[in-house]
Amino acid sequence: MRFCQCELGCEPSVVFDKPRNSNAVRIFVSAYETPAMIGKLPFHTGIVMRAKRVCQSFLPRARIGQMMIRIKMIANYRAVLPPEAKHGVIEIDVPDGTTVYEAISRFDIPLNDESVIVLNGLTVDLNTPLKEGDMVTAFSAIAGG
Amino acid sequence: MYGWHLKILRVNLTTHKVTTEDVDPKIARDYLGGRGWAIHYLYKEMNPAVDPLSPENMLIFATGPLTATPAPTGNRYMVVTKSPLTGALAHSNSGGEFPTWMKRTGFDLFIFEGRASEPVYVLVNENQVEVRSAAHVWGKDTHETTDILKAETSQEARVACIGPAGENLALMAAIMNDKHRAAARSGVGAVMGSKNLKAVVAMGNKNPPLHDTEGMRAISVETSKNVGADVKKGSNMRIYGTSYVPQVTNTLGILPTRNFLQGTFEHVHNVDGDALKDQYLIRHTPCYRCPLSCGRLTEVPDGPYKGKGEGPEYETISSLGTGCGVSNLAALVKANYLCNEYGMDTITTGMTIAVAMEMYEKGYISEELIGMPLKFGDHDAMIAMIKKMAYNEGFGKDLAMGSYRLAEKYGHPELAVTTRKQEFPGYDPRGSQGMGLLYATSNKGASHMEGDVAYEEVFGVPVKENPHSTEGKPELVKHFQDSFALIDSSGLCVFVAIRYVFDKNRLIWPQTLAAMMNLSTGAGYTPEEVMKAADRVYTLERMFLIKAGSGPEWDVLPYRMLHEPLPDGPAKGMVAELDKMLPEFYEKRGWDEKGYPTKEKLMELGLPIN
Repeated sequence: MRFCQCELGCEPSVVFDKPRNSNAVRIFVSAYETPAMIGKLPFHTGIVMRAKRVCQSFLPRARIGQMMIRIKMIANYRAVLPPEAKHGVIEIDVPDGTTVYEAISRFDIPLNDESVIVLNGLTVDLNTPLKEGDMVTAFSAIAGG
Repeated sequence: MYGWHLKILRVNLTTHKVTTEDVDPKIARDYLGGRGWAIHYLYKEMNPAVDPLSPENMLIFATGPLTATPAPTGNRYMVVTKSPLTGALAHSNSGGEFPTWMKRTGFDLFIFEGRASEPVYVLVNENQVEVRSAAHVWGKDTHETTDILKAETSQEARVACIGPAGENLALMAAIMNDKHRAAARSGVGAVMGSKNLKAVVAMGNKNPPLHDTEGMRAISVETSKNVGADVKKGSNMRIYGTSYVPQVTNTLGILPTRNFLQGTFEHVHNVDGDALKDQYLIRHTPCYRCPLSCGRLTEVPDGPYKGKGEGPEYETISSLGTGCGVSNLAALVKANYLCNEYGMDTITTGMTIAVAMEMYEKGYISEELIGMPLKFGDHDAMIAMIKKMAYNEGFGKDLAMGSYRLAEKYGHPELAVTTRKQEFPGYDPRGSQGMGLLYATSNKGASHMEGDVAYEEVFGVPVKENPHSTEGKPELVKHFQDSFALIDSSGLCVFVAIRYVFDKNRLIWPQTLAAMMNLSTGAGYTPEEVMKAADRVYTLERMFLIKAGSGPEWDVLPYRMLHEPLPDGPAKGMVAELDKMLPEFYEKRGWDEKGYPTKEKLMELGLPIN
């Protein structure tokens, strides 16, 4: 699965899925409701171009033993991200089996109760291994509301 | 006595008679101050069944024993009355400067009774108390009113007033102080309007004597240092105010979007703290003696939404913004300014417009009725509706009754997302179960300020709780309800209090707050005693609700929360599981299985049994 990082900020509304045993890419859009497949095309350069019209930041990536995950930093924590981050989100490649803790440790934020760290928006054990496309989000535990 | 003046100012607006009276020191100690004292007097003196907009309703302004002391954020007051929106209790909190100035008049409480025959304002300058004509400011917005009344009294005075919304008895009318600060919720401004009371102007130099001035100074310096250390580290509350929160709740899938049809907003980046900071922020604007300074002055410099003022806060973004599907930040900021100027609660205003938008899109109400199309995301229509609500014009009359009455009137009560007829704040309880229990049992209807367990479920303060779990939430909600009753009674602000004057155990514990209360009053409280007093306050409020006809039968959540699973985000597929928590909650509160405080509990707290 690849998740949209386009300027519309619709993550995870545009989804690309290339099943392992297929050379086709499926494109889903789920901006408001249930994901709807809007296209199924052979996987070649053309699909990338067409996909870009839907999602401007679609970047195919295929490396053995690696997976793409996303790191999202909120508010003051955005300062630790490199400049290419968009809306506080960056995609990174990590080895298969990387845990939430290992992924977030790559960034200079306090790894104690000063930070809230969630996986795909869920409260999890930080030793949980990540899957392709996962999003790890961190923010400072300074209360608001 | 110290810390408290032990003085009440009572103004009968019908007769213009002004009296002062002393507070029994035992009552003072048992009910802490502020919100606690107010419910004591309201319950003792008023029939809870009165019509909230009748002269019989009492309107109480209440400061606490830490208001106008060196304690950081000792700048709050509570407006307590019977709510015309909910029929339950209203207790709305505000900061800024007015509360400190109010306490410096030499009174802890102002009680307004009756109804003036003509518009009036009340000037309190220590013992000089005058009921003056407000004919010249009636109809004016809160900013103009404030400027005019300061010009004719003193620039040293501070003003709390209503705008057109309060005058026109809109049920989401707020009482604004210092122009931009609001005792917003539950229609307290409509109660003030019903009394023909346009404004209260306060000034004076009677700081309350403290039991241990040096001790209070030392603990305040220490607390301010702790706040300062976090600010130096990069506190989001300093950098963004609460406007950074949409990104947090969006990540968790509990950001109210399009009248709670969704839990995530695809354009959240357009209305978050970074967008606000980059485009419109001018500077921070702290309340009096606040080391955190979460308020912010903003300006839309040009274009159709040109304006200058304060905000928006998170709750405004999640109601007038995402709640209405609005992603135009300039229009959202302008809508916030208008609410402040007209004197309106942004949460109820926004969520009522959101319900109307859903009703329009579903074809339940027509363009003809509204006077224009009203689709989700139509920011210009939203702004037009705000004006109609404040001035009770056309379809604005329906909107001014709030979402519960609006949805009911047009045959679709299932669309109103309210408890006790009050609109939800910005945390969807389908993905934050503790908040659902809080909303359902709150003494003032849905409110995060009644015991914000989002501190744990969302923000990880003091520990991160799983928001999807119901386990342990009844105890947590009870503890937070009591802790907030304590903070509201003390005169401190929740933002600083929760983090800096409670100790961070599994359950926050008011060690430092109790110490501050003692340094102020000399009452010699233990932390256990102040928590018990808070329980007393909360339980007495519950008794008021029962007698007002807003008892346990209202401990429910609206249809959408119970029967329509969230369609998106991390909480996808979830509903609020109130049934799993409510019986245990009643037990933890010492209430019977039907939700009534038991005789034993009332006796333990020293409350009247009937």
